[in-house]
Amino acid sequence: MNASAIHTAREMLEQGEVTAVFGLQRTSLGLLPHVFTQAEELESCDLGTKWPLAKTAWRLLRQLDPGAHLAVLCRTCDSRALKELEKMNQFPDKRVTCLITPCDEGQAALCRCAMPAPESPAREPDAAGFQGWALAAAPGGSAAWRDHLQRCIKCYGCRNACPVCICPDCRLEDDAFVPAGKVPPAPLTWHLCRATHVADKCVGCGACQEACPSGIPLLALHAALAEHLRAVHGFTTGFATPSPLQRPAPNQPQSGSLSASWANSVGSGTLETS
Amino acid sequence: MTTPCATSLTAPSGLAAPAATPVRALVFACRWCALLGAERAGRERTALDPRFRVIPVSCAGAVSSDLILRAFADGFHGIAVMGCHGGGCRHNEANRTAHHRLSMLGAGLEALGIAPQRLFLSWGTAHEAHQFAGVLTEFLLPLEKLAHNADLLLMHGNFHCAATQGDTGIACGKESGR
Repeated sequence: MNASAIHTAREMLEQGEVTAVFGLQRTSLGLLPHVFTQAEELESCDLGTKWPLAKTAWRLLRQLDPGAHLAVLCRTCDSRALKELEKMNQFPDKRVTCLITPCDEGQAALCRCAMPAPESPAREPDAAGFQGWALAAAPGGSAAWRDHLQRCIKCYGCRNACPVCICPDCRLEDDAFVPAGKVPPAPLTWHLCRATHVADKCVGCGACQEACPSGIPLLALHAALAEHLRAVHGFTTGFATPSPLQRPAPNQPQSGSLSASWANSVGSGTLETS
Repeated sequence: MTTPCATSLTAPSGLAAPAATPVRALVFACRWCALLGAERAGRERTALDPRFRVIPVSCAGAVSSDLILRAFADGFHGIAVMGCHGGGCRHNEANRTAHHRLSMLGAGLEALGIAPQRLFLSWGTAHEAHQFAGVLTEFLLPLEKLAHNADLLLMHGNFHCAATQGDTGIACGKESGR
């Protein structure tokens, strides 16, 4: 499995199919994200460790020239995050190919990933295989959440690490909403605000929880919203499916005014009844 | 004018003890439906539970989750969003999108252990005076039982006090939990 992803990456570099390959490299300092430009460098690539790469890949893509093609040696959740970023038009003039390595049982358990990555690395994860979210065991009740959330030091680690948290005008930096200097922040206007903002893009990679210096079980909250979207709308993030929360609503045209087909007036489209 | 105003804090006749429990409720009322009901109730002097305030909106779709989160963090016990019935939105099905987003917000509140009755969504059944009064009662009554519930501590960002204090659930003299 691992050998196959590296083999594909090596081929892509050798044949000039990609500008570069992005992945984790073993160095004397430990594992570091690295841009591999030569096939031989892939000798030092590490595929065994799960470390969320999508956010860094996003930053990297913004630096590349138009027309660049980046291969990313990553996990299924990274590839889904990159798909969500693509849906947000983050790299319209560049191509990304994800070479996926599955997480092992232990790694999947940490994120309570309901769908361990496919057996063999695929270019495109198989949407039909996703069972939906097994709801992370909720810490239980508002009292337990207070215990966790009172440790929040508002370091912005969750927001910074999240691959789909990319708004230039972040609500969490809006002083009218989140007063500067107040720590811990109010749970609703911080944690639930961020969770609702990313809900239809969150892939459960766990980067937020990983980044949190206070050990807050953030995945549990995000998982609850993901489960709601799955149960009510049959929606799973990370694929071409548009979000059920965004406009336009289904059955409505993308733009233009609605008027009845018999109406002799300006406007395009017909009046749909839902 | 000696006619008592519907917004006075004394209990209207017919409602006895329940009005004594302080409840802070906010109603976002869409101008095409629910606001009509609210205004008609006012004009007709319909007996209304006085423990609410209305913010008129041009469409329920204008009520973002962030507004609701801030209102809860600022001290409200319950928030209602009242819009038009499905298919009847003047603004091209914005009520449908609002319903999807706000239902998800409800799931998020519930995941944090907050009573789901605190966020109340109503679509299209509040445009007559008696209808508005009925929907309002349906919204407010459960909030009485929750007036001293511990989830208020989380909602108001109160990490210091072990129990709710006084009748508002906001302790330590803080005006707002944000």
